[in-house]
Amino acid sequence: MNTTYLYLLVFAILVGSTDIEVNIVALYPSAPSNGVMLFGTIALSYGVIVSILLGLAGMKALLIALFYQHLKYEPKSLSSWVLIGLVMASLLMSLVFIQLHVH
Amino acid sequence: MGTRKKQETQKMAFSNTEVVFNNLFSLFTYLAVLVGVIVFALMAFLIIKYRERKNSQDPEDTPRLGRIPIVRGHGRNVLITVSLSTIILLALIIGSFAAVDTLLTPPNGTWCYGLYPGYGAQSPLNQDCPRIDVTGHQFYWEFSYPHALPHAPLYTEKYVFRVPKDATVVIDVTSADVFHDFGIIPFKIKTDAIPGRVNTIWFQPYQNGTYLIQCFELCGSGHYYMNATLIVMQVPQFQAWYNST
Amino acid sequence: MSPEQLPARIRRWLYTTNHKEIGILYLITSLFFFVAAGVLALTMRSQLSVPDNHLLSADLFNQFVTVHGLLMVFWVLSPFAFGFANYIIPLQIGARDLAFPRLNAMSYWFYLVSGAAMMMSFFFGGAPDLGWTLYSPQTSFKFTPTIGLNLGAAGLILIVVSITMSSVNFLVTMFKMRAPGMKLKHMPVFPWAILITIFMMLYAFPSFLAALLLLYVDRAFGTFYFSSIQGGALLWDNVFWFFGHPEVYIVLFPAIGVIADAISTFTRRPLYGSKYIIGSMIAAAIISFIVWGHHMFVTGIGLTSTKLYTVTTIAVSLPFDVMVIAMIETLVKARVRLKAAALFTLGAVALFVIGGITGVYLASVALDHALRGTYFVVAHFHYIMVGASIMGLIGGLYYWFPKMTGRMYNEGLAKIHFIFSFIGFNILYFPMFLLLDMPRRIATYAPSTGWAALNLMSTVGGFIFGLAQILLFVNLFASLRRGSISGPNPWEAWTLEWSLPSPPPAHDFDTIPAIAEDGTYHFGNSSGYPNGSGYPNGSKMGNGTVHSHLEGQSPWPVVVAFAAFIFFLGITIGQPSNPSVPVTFQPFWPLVLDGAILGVIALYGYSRERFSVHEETNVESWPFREVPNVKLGIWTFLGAEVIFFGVLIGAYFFVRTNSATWPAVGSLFEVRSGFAMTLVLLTSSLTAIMALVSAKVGSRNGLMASLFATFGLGVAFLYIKATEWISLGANGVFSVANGLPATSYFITTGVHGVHVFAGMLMTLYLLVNALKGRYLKGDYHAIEHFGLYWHFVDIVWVFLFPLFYLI
Repeated sequence: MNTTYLYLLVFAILVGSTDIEVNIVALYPSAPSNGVMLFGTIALSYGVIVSILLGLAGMKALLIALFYQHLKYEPKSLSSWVLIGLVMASLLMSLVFIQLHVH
Repeated sequence: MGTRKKQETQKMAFSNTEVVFNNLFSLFTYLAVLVGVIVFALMAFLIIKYRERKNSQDPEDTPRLGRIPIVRGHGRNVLITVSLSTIILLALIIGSFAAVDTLLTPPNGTWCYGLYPGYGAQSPLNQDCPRIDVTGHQFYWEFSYPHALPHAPLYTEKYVFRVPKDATVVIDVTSADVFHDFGIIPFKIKTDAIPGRVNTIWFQPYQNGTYLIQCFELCGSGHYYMNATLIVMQVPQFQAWYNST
Repeated sequence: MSPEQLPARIRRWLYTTNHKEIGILYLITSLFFFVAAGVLALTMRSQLSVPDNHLLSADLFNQFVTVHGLLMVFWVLSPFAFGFANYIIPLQIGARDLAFPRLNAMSYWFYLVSGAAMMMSFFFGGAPDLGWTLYSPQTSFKFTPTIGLNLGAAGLILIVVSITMSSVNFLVTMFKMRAPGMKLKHMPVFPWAILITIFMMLYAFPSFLAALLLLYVDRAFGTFYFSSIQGGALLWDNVFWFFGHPEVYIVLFPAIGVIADAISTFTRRPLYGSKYIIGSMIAAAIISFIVWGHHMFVTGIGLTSTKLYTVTTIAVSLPFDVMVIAMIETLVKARVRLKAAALFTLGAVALFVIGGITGVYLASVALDHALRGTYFVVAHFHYIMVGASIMGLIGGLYYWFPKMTGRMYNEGLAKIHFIFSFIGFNILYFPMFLLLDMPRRIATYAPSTGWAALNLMSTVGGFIFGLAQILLFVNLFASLRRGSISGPNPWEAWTLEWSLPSPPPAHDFDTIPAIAEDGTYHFGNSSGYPNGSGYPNGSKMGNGTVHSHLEGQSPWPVVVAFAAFIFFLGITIGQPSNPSVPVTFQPFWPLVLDGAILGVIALYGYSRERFSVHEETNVESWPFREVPNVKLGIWTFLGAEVIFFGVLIGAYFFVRTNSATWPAVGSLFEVRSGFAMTLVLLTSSLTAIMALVSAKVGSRNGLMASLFATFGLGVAFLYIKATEWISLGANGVFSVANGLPATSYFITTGVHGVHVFAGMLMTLYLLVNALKGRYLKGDYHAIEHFGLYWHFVDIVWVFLFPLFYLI
């Protein structure tokens, strides 16, 4: 079963990256030391960790959309159609971001 | 000539903000009338010239039922239209940017001039310069004047807002309850009064007199009477009044 | 008419799923609301005619201002246009109906009950009275403790649901059901305008829905998204206007479509640069999503942002510029027939020019410091919404009246109607430009302001304009019976609807037309069809028998809408929890329960009903040729959901940025339980996809097991979630009313939880059918569609987990 194997592989990546997400929290500069330190005692800045977390979440979302919702195998027109919603949402986010942080 | 004319307009005007508004509004209106007249004249001319007459006939390319009409129109014309409009709009954008920079940036040096004892005409920019707090309530405006000494208790007055003539008045506007908007009508300046936020505007009144302040955001049943009076006084009178508070 | 016929006739209208009948229902209902909102407006104009007037109390005036705005924007302009869209678009693209006829009926009934909820608000402690923009924090229960505002919000939520259903329906129809050879570029401007309008609706309304939902929970449960001083007021401004500015074009574009096509017909010329007009509309639609900040110029959002919005807003005038110039160039060497429809549409262009130019004033952040909240703004947007939209749509009413009724209206009376409307309109609204010092929405003003003369003039113009509309109704009503027979194509227009008899038969087309390469139409005639084999006669329904649309009746749409109405009455009509200190209110639970039960029954009936929609096989469906209708519908719906959750997450981001402090990671939420929930949901996605795999290979046991596992994992997810909610509450760490961290957490994960719950109901339904042996082999589509939804819910959680637990 080729597809089943693929779905299981995707699942493994999803779970694995979730594990990274949970553990990376321990690297916050002021994190309590009872967490598991993946990379010894390196403390990453807040912004870097947030970016990594959101990047991982985006990657997971992409995997689910491409394989479980099989957008990868749909016609291009449909995936572009779906992309429009994302573009709209990110426009909203970035303009609000400018509003909040740039004066 | 230009400067004298400018000075005269300034003399006629109630405040610097009104001058900024009037100049920009005129620019917009000149261009708007120009564009409007051309468009309407063209439309009226074409409708009259090409109206249906008894002996007139359908043009050759009239769309007929049973057939998708031919596609016509030149990209060139669109390009010309867009380019001409862009030139006009760029002028408007540049004018607007210059005006808004003036409106939102109090000038250095004249900061606080005449507003309080101890702040003379020549006093330099002072970060601690006391501003006047304006707070919107359902349904009145409240004005809090700081005393010259830091941390002195505020003097608060409702309904009446006094400022000295020619001073640079910087106000911090906020709200105690709902969304209001603080507008000094003849000065053509306003800002929103929002709970939890402070919005700063400034103006320089040019003439003694009383001016209508009103709320510009529907804030409840008393919205229509949520107004106040701005009184612009000569500096000595203002200082005398201020010292008596 | 005999008494027995009466119920049959009523039932016909209640159960109809025919696009033309639904179109008529939309038109009549929207005209009713037009009159209602117009009467409110004339009452307000009377109040303002002289200073210090007390014809209306300030409270009543504020209610009239608000309801007039809400009714005109939501219940008049769009539904008026969508009445035409329903009736005309299937005819213009050569389809026999919309893709989902029952969904279309349901949209209409949701629209009707939403309007009823809005109107009822007057009788429950006063209608909403804070302006149609519903600025916070005045909308909080503390400042407006009326059931009327709850009802208004309920009406708005219901109409957003209606509009979302319509959007999906029209999109699928126009993308997937065009007549053979009818490429997108062959469509007239009106369908294009509707297509672009729907695109905006699809992405703008979810933002409004999210805003209304947050408003509702604020009022019902005492949360404070919008009443917090940590940016609550500006949060509303942002989410409202992210929706609100596209909404302005949503109510305008259909009228532009009508205007463009009518101008082409009455000037006897092909539209000049039609592709540029359409391209401009697309450009304006996209830009409309990045200009909303111009409604917030004086809220203090920062100089950079305001300058950015000034540029985008001024830039959006360029595409409109192109549209207007193209329409005017159409007149060159034309043969202009000044029929009433032409007068109204050309008049609308003229008024639109004034509205557009004054819009550029308001795009300037500098001028806005003086003009914000004044009658200049009122004048500007009435020139657009009444001048362009209403006048253009009235033009459309005259244009298509002969098609819909088979009768001609009285041309002379219609021209008099135009002259009084046009003159009255300008006397009504032009003075408002000159009232650029007068605050809008004030109940009265002092004589010393000097605003009296212009106001009186405006009121006189208002009555001329208002009374002139009586001519419209008299004319159309009398012409229904007495008008001369119009024939199929009285205007000698080219679009497809005019090829049919007036009014068209229930099934529209005897044979679906085909458009050949050279642009000619062919009706059931093989010659000239591109692929050489000729256009097959198989487009006739079944064995060559003509499909009768009267069979396609369904009682369920109206019942579902009625159930939703009862449900929303229940959750909005209630008592303040504590009358002395109004902070929240209690819903009226019996009605909620009734509505829910009726809704479940109705949805079950809806899903069990045998209602087959005939799909033409040989249709033009670029660019979604290989995508089935339902799948396209689901993805479109999910696109709207992206915006909905995007706004919820954006709201969380917004209040968090505006808060000085926020609990540290791990201090409020157990990372462990979030981790557990993530694993559970990810696993459920795996089981959902395995269900699809099993269904495709025909393994009933595999399908049952996978579905059952999915359901079980859903239960597990909700169980962990409930435990977490309860423990957080019990620890007293926070309650819903205990701060923004709590508010945003409970609401966002709560809405997600509701989505999980809905997905579980779907799995139950699928399980029951799978037990009967359905969905195997080629019948797997329901499983696939459920999966698309379920994985989407999973994706949302993939983002919620780090955002709430790890950041």
